[in-house]
Amino acid sequence: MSHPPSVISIVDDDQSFLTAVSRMLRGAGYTVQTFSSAQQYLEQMIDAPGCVIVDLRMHGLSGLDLQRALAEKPHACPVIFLSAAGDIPTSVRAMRQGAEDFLTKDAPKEDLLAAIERAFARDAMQRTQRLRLREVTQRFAALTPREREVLRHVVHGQLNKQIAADLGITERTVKLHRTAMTTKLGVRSVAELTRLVQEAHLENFTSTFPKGQ
Amino acid sequence: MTWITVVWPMVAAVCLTLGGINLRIGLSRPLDSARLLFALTAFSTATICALELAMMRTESPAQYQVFEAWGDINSALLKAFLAGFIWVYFRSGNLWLALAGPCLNAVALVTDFLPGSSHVYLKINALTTIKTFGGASYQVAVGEPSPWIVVGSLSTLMLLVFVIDASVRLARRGEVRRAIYIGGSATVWMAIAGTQSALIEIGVLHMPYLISVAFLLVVLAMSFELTTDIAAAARIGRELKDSERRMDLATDAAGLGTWTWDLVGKEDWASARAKRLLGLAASEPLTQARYLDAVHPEDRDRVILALDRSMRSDHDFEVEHRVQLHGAETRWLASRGRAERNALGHPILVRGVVLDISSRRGSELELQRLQGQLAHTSRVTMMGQLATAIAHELHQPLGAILRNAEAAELFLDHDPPDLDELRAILIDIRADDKRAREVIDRLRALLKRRSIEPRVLSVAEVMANIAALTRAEAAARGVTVEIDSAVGLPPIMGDGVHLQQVLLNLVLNAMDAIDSAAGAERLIRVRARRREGSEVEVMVSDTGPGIAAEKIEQIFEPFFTTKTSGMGIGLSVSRTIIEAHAGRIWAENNPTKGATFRFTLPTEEEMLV
Repeated sequence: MSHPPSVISIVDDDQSFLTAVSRMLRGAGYTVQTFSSAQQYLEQMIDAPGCVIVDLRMHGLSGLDLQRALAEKPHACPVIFLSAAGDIPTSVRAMRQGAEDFLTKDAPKEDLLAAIERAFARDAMQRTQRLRLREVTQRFAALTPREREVLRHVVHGQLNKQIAADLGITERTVKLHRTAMTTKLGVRSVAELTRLVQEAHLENFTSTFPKGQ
Repeated sequence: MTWITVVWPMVAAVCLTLGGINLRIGLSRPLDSARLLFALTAFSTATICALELAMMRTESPAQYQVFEAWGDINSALLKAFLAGFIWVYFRSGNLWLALAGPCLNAVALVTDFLPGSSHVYLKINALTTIKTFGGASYQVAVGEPSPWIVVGSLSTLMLLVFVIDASVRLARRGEVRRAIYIGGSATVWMAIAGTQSALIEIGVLHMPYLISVAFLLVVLAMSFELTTDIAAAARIGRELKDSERRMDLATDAAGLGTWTWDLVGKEDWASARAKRLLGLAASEPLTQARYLDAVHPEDRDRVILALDRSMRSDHDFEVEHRVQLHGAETRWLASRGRAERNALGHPILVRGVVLDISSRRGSELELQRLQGQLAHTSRVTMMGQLATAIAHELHQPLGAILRNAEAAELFLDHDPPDLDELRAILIDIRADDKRAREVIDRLRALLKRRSIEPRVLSVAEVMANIAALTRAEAAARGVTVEIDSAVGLPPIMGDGVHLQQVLLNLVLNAMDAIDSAAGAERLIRVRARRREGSEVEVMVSDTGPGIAAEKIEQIFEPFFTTKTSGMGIGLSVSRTIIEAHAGRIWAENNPTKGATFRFTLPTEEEMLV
């Protein structure tokens, strides 16, 4: 198995099942951490790649409660639900909230391992995305307010002359801002710039693009 | 032959006859000592009568003296018998007075046996022949009277006082007739006989003794008494017959068989119906042993116990049992009896009745069966509510077993295989298997149809089972179930499954109540404690909305429900179960919020008493 850095966290209040499933996953070569309650996991979770396997029915916080709490965290792992007896309404709710998978506790090992692999892949993808986003966001954050104004007009397809008229500055000044902006963002063409803006479709950035434009 | 030789023998014959009759009555069981004493009185009077006649007809003073002595002995006996008779027959009077007369007389009598002495005559000088009417003549002694005569007369006087005193007391007690006839006649007789014989002996009167003749008065009174008794006996006999017929009619109409066991003699008796009910032939005697033999073997110990208890205490014997008749037919009988005891309190006789209660028992059993069915239906319905939670309970260990098995396969592939890990896996698999089995066993016990079978049981055990059964459901519904049984609760007599059903019903109801209230606190507390007296109380309290005051009485009625999905049988079945355990169940609202259901169960100790 080629995922040494990935960690599987298991959250289940049934000690016997917790032991059994962690034993099996360790046997299959994974790194495993166990938690006997959702609270314990929320307190002790670390930002490591991997996934979390959660029992749906637990005393105290249930699996769905944990999923909701994780949704608010910036670096949450994908959640695989395990249920002793799955009922349809709960599984639908879990999947709608973005669960990676929903398995019964006696599902075959292969299903569980496949679900884990899928969760790992998704986690890796999400991590890459998060990394790229952070980087792009940082690049946009380096722009001055005037450069952002110019950028807004550029991605809306306006020419330098139009921008200069709109902003009440000379065409030459617009050109200078455009050069500084493309250098900071590391793009060479308007097409590249547009793609980057789409990629960085972040809340803090959209505010600089008033709606209705 | 003169009238004297006719009258005296006649008097003797009358005395003997009446004495004989009384002897016969007195000797019949049970012994009647009053009658016996009267018989002795009459016999000694008859003897005196014979001596009187002999004295009248003797020619020699010496012979007269001998007869006189015998007469004295007899009159002493007579006084003793009479005193005894009155004492026993009247059951009144002064005992010392009763004893004083005969004792004094006995002292006087002793002088008769001293040489040259007598308590009547010191010496008889001659006999005088006196002619009287009808050509009859008799001898009268002429002699020196003894000073001891006074003692003899004094003893007669004391006896007289005793009889009068006893008669007055008897009359005051209400038995006037007997006091007048018997007391009166005895008094008159003693007055006449005593005075006349004293006068003869001191030589005032020259007459024959009239002791026996005067006794005819007493004979007359006693005969009258006897005929009254006989008439009364005849009447009682008729009434008895009548009462017996009424009793027969009543027992027949009620279908009762009656029996009597004679514990001393051999006079066991049973009515034809009693024998028929017990499956005996009409000619077969119904002894205690034969009765117990007819009782169904499974019920025999119970019957013997009930019988023993009734013999030892003063309680009526009362028991319901089966009899195994020829063929396979079984009949239910109710048997009830009462012991009759002698003066020492030992039972000497048992009288009893048996009644065929097969049809009542049949409908009782049918009712029990229907109730059992309803209880079972209600239980299965409840298990249906728990199905998801129970499936969860079962999936946990099964899932763990599967994961462990898979892990074992993986560890076997390692080189070298991790044997310690494999061993740990096997131990865990066993533990989970046991866990799954326990879940199934609990379910199976609850799902099985069964009647209430009481055994010695700990309430804590029942509560622990409820904790296990409701754990998953409580987790799913987000309710905390606190189960807390007081330490050292006494054992109870009960059926674990049925009591679990009651508790489960109460806990599930409490969960529904909490769901309907949507309050912040979602807590159910199940507690048990010992109550004053000999009861264990179990309570289930919730933090739901409580019960509307006007409904708190109705909730245990069948088909009454406040839920949209309920059938309204849970609590009514619970009540049936608790009442079958000789307990009570009720509900009340908590002071702050929610309701508390309580039920009590008598302790094992209490059930045994």
